[in-house]
Amino acid sequence: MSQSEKSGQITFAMQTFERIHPVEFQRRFLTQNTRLSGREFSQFRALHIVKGSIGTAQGSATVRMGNTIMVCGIKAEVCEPDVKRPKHGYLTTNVELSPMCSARFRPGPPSEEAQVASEHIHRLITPSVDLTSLCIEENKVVWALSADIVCIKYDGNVLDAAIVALVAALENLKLPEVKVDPATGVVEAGAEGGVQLGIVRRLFPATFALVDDNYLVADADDAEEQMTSASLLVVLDDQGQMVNVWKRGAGIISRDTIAKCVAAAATRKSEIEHALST
Amino acid sequence: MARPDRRDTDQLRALTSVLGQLSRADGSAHFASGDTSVVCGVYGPVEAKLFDERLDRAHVEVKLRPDVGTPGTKDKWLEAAVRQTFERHILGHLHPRTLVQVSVQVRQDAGSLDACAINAAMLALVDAGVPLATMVAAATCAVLEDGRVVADPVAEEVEGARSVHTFAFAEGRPAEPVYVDSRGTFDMPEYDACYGVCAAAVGRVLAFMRSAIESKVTRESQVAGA
Amino acid sequence: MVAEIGPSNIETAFILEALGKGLRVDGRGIYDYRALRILCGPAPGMVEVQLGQTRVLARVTCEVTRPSADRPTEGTVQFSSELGTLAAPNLDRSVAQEVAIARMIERVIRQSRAVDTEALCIMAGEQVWAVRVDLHFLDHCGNLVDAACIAAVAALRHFRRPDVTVDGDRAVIHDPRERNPVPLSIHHTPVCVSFAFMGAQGELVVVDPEVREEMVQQAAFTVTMNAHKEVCALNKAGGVALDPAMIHRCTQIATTKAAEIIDMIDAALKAAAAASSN
Repeated sequence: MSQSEKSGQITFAMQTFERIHPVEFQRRFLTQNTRLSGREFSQFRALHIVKGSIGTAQGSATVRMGNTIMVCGIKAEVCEPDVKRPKHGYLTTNVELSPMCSARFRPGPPSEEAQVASEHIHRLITPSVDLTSLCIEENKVVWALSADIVCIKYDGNVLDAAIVALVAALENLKLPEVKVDPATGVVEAGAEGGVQLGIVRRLFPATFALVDDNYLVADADDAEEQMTSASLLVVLDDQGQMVNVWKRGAGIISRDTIAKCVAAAATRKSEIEHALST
Repeated sequence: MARPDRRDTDQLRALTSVLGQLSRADGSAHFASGDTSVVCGVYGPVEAKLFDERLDRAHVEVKLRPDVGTPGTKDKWLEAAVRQTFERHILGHLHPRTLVQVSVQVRQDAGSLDACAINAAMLALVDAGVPLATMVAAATCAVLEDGRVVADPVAEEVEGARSVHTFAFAEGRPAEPVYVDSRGTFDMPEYDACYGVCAAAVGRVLAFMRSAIESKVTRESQVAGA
Repeated sequence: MVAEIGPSNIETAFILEALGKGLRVDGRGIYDYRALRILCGPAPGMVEVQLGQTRVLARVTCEVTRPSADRPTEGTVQFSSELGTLAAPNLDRSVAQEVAIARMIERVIRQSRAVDTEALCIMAGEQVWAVRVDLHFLDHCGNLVDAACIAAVAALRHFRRPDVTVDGDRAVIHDPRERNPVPLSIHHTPVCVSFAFMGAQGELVVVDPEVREEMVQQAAFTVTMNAHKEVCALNKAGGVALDPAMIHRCTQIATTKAAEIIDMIDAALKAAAAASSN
């Protein structure tokens, strides 16, 4: 720790300042219209997507967004359909924020943040896929997909990363050909490959955070999230139509600002599209 | 085409509320919008668990229980939404190191539950005398398959809707939504239309809540005076 | 959080001394039941019971499921009664009480065969109704068991399930708007009447204890009876030993109380039926 005293003024090393007064440290950047990461307020982090990163899963993808890394693996199992919806398969989503990814999370049952993220993603993805394409034999056998979205490294904005990871993993998903023996009812899996899930629309998320009640930044990192009083998620589909606008927290994001964020989300959409296609 | 309950497109269902109905809770409210009804009780400020204790403010906890079935992630989601909507409007610095516990019990979900839960929680907080910066209320509207925008949709309308929008506003600030949840498939003009419908509806809900509180206070002061 | 603080020594002494003179803390006589209100609706199977200040809400719902393999011709009735955080402060700790209430209601209604589970069968081995009774405790001012039992039985009788017609090997479930839903087949109406025994030997007995009396009680005793003056269940879990003659006396008191309660349930259901047919 380097510390010197000159005419009553204390000088710290930058890291020391960040440690002992994180809020003031961030504020010094924000008041200068810049961010610690060097990004503009409206600039998102670059996305890197690797599809099929887990060989043993039926569909998988790894998404890196700055220092946030999410892995999504989809496991497929056969099971009986719900009596009310005999042609529909199942898709469950589970977001895992374990102590591995950040010291903020504790071991044990999923945190509220993880549960809310799981539920929100589930609500978004359910109308976006054709669950009837998971039907093997009506009222008898369907596919049950469980998508586990695990955070490897937490540096803010996991929701965007999780949605992109899930969409990429669903695109990567290949279900084996299945035959049902009519006599015994035994389900036999054939060769890998073949059947794909019917995807109605892809989702393109963009999250904005109101930091320190004053500065609206795109794609906040962990340090910025700590100072967030409101966040806004905008999700667009392939046609650029809005799928979800979700503002949480009591910080003030005005009606006009939300409209601007929706416009900015369209720019982010093309970035994600590009990353998904490579 | 008429709505299932023959309301006008911007008409809300009948609002009813009962304040202070529960005897154990420090404050409580029963809030109903048509058949959707929620009862909410507030305990607080009470002693906080060591883990939750905040040195500079009260810790706000919301627990939500569904009408049917055991609580799941769906309820956790709504619980978080309710808490985040008014967490900052509670003047928690007046009661540091305490807990404000808000328990929401859904009685019946017949559509537009999220808004009803937020409104019930708000009224219960007022009834409990928890210091608040302002009042917040929420309203829901839906864009139907034929493009009509209907306020306070019932479950049947939500099911067939193209998009569903829930907004919450603080009193007198229609340009700054406290909470937004729009989902489905929609474009900017539809979003704007829904914003307008909900902002107007919230104004009416707030007026209703205000009169409910006023009549309760008048009644109590009459009892005290007599 | 602190555990709920029971009545102080001086309060306990007061309650017992008054009771010795035949007076109760809320002014009732020792064999008086508190005012009972039963509100049915608006949804079928939704009943709120107010017993004095105690409030319990019951919701009955049903859905179609596959029957269990060992009972292919029987539907199921499931009870769920969790004491949430609403009914009283710091309630979430008393798991033992919660389990006791749930068990008691289940025993009283399911094991006394109040609901005809075979009538819940749609197609043997294929589809049956699963009836679910959710009990919500809104306000805990003593004697939750009786209130919960009344709410559960009244809600089961108030409930209407969608009508079903079986056409060959297909079951058609009619929308409630198309065809009038039908009531469940209920054999009898069992209701609980609870007693609390106070004093060192449990010599002071009251019916329908309120919350302060429950806190000082030495033993609790619940008699379950139906309209035919049949004892369906007796429950005394621990506490001081009681004289068999006392049990007999309680049962006799319960007979008259149960008849009154069942009359009120009948009247409430009749009023609800009249209101809905108008």
